[in-house]
Amino acid sequence: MSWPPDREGFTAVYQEHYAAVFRFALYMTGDRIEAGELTQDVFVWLIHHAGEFDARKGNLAAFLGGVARKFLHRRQRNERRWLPLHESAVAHGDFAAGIERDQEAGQLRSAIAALPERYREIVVLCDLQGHSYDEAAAIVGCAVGTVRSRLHRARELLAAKMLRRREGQKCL
Amino acid sequence: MTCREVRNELMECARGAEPRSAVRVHVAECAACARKLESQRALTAALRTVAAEPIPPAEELSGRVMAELDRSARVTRMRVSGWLAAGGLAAAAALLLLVSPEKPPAPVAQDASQFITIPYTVPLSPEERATVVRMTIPVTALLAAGFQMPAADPTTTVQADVLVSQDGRARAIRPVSIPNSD
Repeated sequence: MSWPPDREGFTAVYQEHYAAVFRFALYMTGDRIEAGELTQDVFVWLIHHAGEFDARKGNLAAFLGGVARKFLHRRQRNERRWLPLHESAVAHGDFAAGIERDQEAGQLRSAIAALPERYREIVVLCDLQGHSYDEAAAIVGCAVGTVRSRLHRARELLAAKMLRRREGQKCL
Repeated sequence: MTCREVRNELMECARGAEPRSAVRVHVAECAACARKLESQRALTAALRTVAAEPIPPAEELSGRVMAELDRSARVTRMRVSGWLAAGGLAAAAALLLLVSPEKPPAPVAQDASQFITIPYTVPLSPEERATVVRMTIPVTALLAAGFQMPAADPTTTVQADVLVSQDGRARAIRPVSIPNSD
């Protein structure tokens, strides 16, 4: 397929990549509506900036991950201007507070949403989206070793939180 | 191996990597590291459950994207037809030059509506004042501004009237000549 693509080609690109962009946005924001908006922002941007993708520098999935990350930061900056301080990412999760069929998965989503952003994005990219360390490093713009150490730390925090919850449930 | 050395590798083991034999031996003998590995494996399984959650179908999230795609295609088509029309006018003027005994005046567009808005700029509102400046513009600059040009040679130039708003920004363009090689 030529790049930038025509309408048919662009639709195929959208079908192939929207899910990954949506998931990244969902796990980072904890909000399905916001994730949907952000996903569309990314692809509307791509319509006008398709020429900025260079296949020699990496694959399209990683490129779109980087674009989604920038849109996410832009949204967060705008939200910070208007929201009171106590409405942090932790309290942000109406999606985590919703009805959960799978209790453990729901708790894990809450725990991910509560991670500091530098750890959260690495867990999302590597463990929820299956990006390699190299790809995650390219998206975030840091060294591969940093990705590994952040993932290590994030997983320790998550495992500890899950363990505490399990032990708490046993005591009840 | 010490617990510290082993723990650096437990995450990769829990994520699916094959543990080295030294790690396997240590975990078999160390209850703390075994618990650590078990909790990391449980975390991997839980993360897989979260990652497999259903998401909305593409059609539910594509409305704004497809509308923008169609709008963008319409604008491009209009611009291409605008350039082709300008090219046709210029060709007609050139023909007149050949058959007419007197040299006709330089082609100046009569109607402000012939201006084409420069992509991704806000069009002038009716009450805004603007200046028209005739310029020789490289085709590469027009391509960079987002115009779809029929001319394939990037070294050519185009003579055009440019509508410059009060803030000094170019807002629209009215081609007065077909692309020429320098």
